[in-house]
Amino acid sequence: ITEEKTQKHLPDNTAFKQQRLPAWAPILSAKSTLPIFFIVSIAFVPIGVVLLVTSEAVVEFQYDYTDCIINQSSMTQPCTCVINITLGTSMDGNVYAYYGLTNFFQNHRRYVKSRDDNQLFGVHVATTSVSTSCAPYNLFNDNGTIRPIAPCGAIANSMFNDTFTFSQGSAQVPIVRTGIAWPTDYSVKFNNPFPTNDLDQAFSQYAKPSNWQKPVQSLDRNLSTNNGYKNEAFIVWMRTAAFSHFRKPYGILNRVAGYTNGLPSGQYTLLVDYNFPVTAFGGRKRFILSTTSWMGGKNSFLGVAYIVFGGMCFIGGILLTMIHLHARNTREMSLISRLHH
Amino acid sequence: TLVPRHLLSEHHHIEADERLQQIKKFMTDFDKNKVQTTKYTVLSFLPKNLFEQFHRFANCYFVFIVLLNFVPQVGAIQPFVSMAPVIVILFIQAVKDLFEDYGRYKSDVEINSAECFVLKSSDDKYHKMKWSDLQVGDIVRVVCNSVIPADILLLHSSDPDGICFIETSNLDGESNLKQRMVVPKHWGDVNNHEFYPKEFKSIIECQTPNNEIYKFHGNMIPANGGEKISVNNSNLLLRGCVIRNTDYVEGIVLYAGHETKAMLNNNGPRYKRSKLERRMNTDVIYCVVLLLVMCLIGSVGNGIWASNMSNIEQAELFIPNEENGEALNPALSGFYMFWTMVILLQVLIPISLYVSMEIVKWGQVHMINSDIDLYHKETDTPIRCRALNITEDLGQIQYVFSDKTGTLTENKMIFRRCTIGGVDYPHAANGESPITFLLPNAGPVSCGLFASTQSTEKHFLDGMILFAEVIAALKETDVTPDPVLYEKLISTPYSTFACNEAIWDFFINLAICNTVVISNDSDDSVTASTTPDPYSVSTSIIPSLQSPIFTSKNGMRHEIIQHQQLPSTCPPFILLITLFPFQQISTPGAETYKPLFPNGNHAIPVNGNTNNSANIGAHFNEDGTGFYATISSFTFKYGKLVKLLNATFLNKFLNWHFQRRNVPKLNQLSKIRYEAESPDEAALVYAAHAYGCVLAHRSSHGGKESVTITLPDGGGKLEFEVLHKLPFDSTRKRMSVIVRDPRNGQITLYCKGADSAILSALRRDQQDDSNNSTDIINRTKQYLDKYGRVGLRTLCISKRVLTEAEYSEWEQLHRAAERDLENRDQMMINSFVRMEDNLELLGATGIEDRLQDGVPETIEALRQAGIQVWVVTGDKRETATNIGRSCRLIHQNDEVIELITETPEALSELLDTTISSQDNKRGKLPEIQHQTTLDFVLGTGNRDQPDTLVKEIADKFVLLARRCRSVLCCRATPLQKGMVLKLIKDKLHVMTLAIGDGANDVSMIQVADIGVGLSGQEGMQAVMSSDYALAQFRFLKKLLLVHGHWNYARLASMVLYFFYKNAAFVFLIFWFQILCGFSGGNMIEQSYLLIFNLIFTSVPPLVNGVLDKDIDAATLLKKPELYMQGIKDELYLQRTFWINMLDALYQSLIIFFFLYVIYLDTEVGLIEWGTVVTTAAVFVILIHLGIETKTWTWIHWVCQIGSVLVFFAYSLIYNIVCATCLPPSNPYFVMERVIQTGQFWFSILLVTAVALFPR
Repeated sequence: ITEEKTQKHLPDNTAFKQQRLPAWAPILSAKSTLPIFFIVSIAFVPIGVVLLVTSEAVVEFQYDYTDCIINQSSMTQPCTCVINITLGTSMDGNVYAYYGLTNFFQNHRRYVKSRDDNQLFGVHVATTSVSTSCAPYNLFNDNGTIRPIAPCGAIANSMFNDTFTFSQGSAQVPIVRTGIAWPTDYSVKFNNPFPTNDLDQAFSQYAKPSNWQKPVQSLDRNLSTNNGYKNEAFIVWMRTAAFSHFRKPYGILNRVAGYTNGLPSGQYTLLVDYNFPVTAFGGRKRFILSTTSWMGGKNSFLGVAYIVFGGMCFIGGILLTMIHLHARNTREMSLISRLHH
Repeated sequence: TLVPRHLLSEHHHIEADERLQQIKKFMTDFDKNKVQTTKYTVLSFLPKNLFEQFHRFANCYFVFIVLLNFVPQVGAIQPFVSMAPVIVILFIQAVKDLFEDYGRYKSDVEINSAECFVLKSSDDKYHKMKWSDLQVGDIVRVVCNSVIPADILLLHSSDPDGICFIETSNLDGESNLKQRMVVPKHWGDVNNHEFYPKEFKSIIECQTPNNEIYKFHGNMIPANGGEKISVNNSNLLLRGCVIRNTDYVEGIVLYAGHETKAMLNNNGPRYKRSKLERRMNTDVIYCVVLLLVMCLIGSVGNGIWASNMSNIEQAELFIPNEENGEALNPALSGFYMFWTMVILLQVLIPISLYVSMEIVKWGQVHMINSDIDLYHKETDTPIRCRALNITEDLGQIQYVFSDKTGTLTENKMIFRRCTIGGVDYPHAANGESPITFLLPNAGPVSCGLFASTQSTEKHFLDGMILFAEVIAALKETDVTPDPVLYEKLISTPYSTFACNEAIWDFFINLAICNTVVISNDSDDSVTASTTPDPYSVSTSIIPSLQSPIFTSKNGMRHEIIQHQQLPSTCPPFILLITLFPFQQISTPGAETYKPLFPNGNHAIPVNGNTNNSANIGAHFNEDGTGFYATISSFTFKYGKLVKLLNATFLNKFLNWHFQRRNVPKLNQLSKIRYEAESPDEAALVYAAHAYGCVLAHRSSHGGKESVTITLPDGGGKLEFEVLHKLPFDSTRKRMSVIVRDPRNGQITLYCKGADSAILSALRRDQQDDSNNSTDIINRTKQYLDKYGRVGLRTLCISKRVLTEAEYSEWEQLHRAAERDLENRDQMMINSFVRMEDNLELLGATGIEDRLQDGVPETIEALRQAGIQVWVVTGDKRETATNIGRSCRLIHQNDEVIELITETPEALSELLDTTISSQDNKRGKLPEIQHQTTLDFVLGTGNRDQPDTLVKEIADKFVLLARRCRSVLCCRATPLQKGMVLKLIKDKLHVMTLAIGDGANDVSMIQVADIGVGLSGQEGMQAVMSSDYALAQFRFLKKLLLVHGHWNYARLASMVLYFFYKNAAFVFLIFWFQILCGFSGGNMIEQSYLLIFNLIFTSVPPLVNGVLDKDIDAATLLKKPELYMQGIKDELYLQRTFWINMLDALYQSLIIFFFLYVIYLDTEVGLIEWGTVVTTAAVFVILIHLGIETKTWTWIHWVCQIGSVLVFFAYSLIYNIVCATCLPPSNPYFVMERVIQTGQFWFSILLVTAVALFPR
């Protein structure tokens, strides 16, 4: 009966409530930490080697053409310059053309903000409803009539508009300007407004960005699927870069006759339609040709970092082992010596 | 002022009386009995709840940030996005509040719709009515076992004596019955036995509602213009109490609804701020400073950068101009930047930490509450945490202040010895503790006894029940009369004329000078449900009594005949004796006889067994006053158990029985149970009972109270008329009753109290027998000291014979004092003191209060843990030191410094000399640890001046005390207890814990950083004011050493982790400012920014905060030194905070710049890169916690892996469903794309490894 006495306040005797759950308590000791050093180094060094080799396999060619015309002052006044390029090694496989910009702060907060995703999604915006985040690049006063700008905002307004004509001898190297944007951006995020089959009409009520030489429906007159907001060069530009030193894809080598294996080595000519002003703010412009690997472009840092870190672990491990052994020896020695005396 | 409500409906009556009209007007203002404890109504919920929530600093901070976001120049995050966390938090809080409120609402409805009987003036009958409709002035009838609906003045009781019993456990937790009385003579000459409510027309004046449960007084003005009748607490039935032992009562509602004392006492949970939290708050301030510095750097950087750029015409390519087309002024831009940075870096202020801490502490409290080791089986009491937010303080206690009685000791008082008229009666046979009965072995053995006899399961079970009940019965009646004293008592018959015999007065005093409630076991309403009547069970085994064996001796036969005559009250002991002969007992060696009477001459050994050689020795006292059997050990035939049964076990049985037998009307009186408010009183009444001087009955007839006692050996009854009761209070330290002696009509004051309280009020005029009485006093004093030395609690017993003139003079003054509404309390005490003077000392009692289990071990462990244990007690020095020694507070070879002085000056001097001598002996040790025990005694001279500890003395005292290992304060009044604690707390700035069980410890408990109440014998007042309620002192060990340590370690690491986590994350954004021209740019997608803390990294630290164990419980208990970590704040120092911040800095640098270099000059997009950074941060921060985690259970694994999975799941889903939302950082398909690249995975691996490698 005493046992059966109601003990309604008796706490549950469960492992959880009594904090007796089976637990794994890692204890840091020389025996458990030393192997970690070696395991890390054994794992990291080979990875680093692989990454380094991969990176080294990428062939990259860069040319800074910022200074090829000095008195460039405006985006709207085109001029050209011709650059002779020698490719020392052939570039096998897919070859990408990039333009690189330096000291161009595409990550500036107010710059990043200055866009209207709805407009780019294909929604018509009226004068009154144009996004204020685009201001002051949202409305254009066209002799008294105020029209919304399409595409609005600082990002669009500052779109990179140099063009490259890359040729070998007299033959132009076929570089296509499609396939460079993210497929999802192209198919989902960027849509032309209604009517999509007649862009001139679709954009008729809008003004072009002030820095643009031609309106958005004329970005690529030759290819209707690459025109308007769906122009891939535009889409690429609209994805703002993380740093002020960046590159963006310009086009892909079309591997047709003569270029099926990539870009052979030899003499090439680059004709630049020089529009985009960078010198005023200390920027640089580059033209880049590069193959890619599964790890992306050429970047030896990752591989080197792996190797260095793995190596440091290894050295650290050896040092610690020696210290550990030494300490044990001295302990033993002192024990022995104490026993002797 | 109020009148019965039924009067109000009689219009003609009211119009006639102007005063009644006023009262009526006044009474309409009273609330109904409806209670509403809910905070909100349906309508007021939203505004009121929001209002309350915005009172919190944290919420305001959030709102401020959100509002900042609405400023377009500043806004870094979409305003509506930034509102999300605020709304979520407000919503969760609101739901929680709503839920709690709904619970209150439901209980309100339940209570309000309970029914009671209310008099309706229309037909003069009682009708059922809802509680909520009850009004002040209503006459109600409450039947037995129902709950009292409001505070009611008792007007009539079904009990002929005009009393009723209530159980107040709902109110104060005390489960003993309390007696309440009908207002005496309340409406003149109306017969008390027939109560006609309609004729009750008196006006009642009473205090305005207050929350003092034990205090009430007022006056009743009879309608017929009679004398005012004073009413007090003993006439008041409080809401929430339960009527017991009384068929019904009737009374008038005085206070209803929220004005009842029960409701006024209902205050919410307590909030204290813990030490760790205080420390944390300073670190939060550091965080604020850090935040401001970072924002300032950002803002200045922005200004410089912008002014550089503003010279360049083409910069507007990527620095958009203002809306008006003008370039932004660099200074203004910098200013805007500052606020933008505040928004971006807001996470650095760990607001979420406060919420998390609440959750973690809730979890910790839950864990403590459900610890089975802190559960007390005997009383079915688990630990209860009443304060929810100081769990970690348990790990940092430096000083423990403990009460003695009931805290270190059991507070189960046992009458051990007494001195009467200067003669000591040692009660030698009375030495064993009731624990002896509860030997772990005793149970099975005795059960075995029964079983082997009866050989059936049923009887086995019966035997067990019987045994349990016998044990239960024995614990309370545990007094063996001292033979000498008993002899004396019997030999001086209590005749009507020989009434000056000190011995008789002594026992009468013990029996009547108390507030003990007599309750009958047979009363089904109280006890039947909890303790089955042992006597009914025993009948099933009665047949064995007819065994012929017991007829062999005369005395025995006598016994059995007696029991056959009274089968229903057969004391169980006889069964045991009966059964022994049936045992096939193997004899283990020599028989043991133990002469139990010290004088021995009455006892002759008798072998009660005819058929075997069992080693049962029986001493049979032929005159029937004693029967003792000893059994040293035996085996029984079941063979499995060879147990030792303590001889005294049987002794007790037999003693108990024989006391019973000596008492007349055995069958009636054996059912008596006493319920006392203090265990001392019960012990004394039981002692008197043991001597046959039995408190049998209390009654009150028409306002006249009387007490009946029965005398030993059929000496008849004596009925004392109780003229006054002078209840106990802590200033007087004594209580008295004034009775009219039925023998000679003398008015006698019986007074008992603390020895100091009595000795100072003794008769000073020693004329005729001065030598004799001073002699008695001196000898009694000697014995008092002696009792104190062996650790007994002493009480002095005294009386005073009053002349009629003295009495009536005093009574008049006293009546006046009673009626005084203003200074009533003080006046009453003065009046009491006036009466309790010129006392004649009868003797003194020594009551033992045994140490609780495990007290010495606990104190030892606390000591080793570096905690200083102080015992603060109201007991005298000898008693205190004795207990101090027995609980190992004072060690054998400790040096004891005693500070006993009469005056403050002397104390000051004594302190000086002691300090200097200590300095000489040991040099000036600033160390707290050294092997001295100071026995600090607040000298008797200090008793009347609670503020004796004047400043300089206090300083010296503290100086000395901090160098002592432990301190024992004696003779401390409740207030002094609190003062001593406060002194130490203020002077030394230490963490203190106070533990106590009684109302006198409340001040101490409230002052301490942590108050622990023991739910023991002395009611619930200590528990009510405590933060933690324990059942036993020994639980303190695990509570502090294990839970305290764990909670401290957990919380410290959690707090540090939160600082680290937020800082690491915020630093990442800060570094980015360098790359984006200090523009407040942000690479991390907005929603990540906001819910990173809320979801991705929140659960694992919480789990750690509740479950992590840096050291397992067994080790903590074995090595109390580990507790020092908490005392020394080792786990959370200023230094550790900064180390954690440096860690955050290092890790964020690694994450940020490694990823920067890896992704430099690639086509990576802003948000794309930000996603990589976020992922790396999630990994690093979670694995960092993983390294910090000391023990991994499956819950840890689930949470850690779960958090990572949730992060990926969230980002993958969120990145695919939304193509245009949350501009500008719309992350459409970013995560999907990122995880396809090898660069991502290899970077994460590298960064995580490098960032965490130093750990």
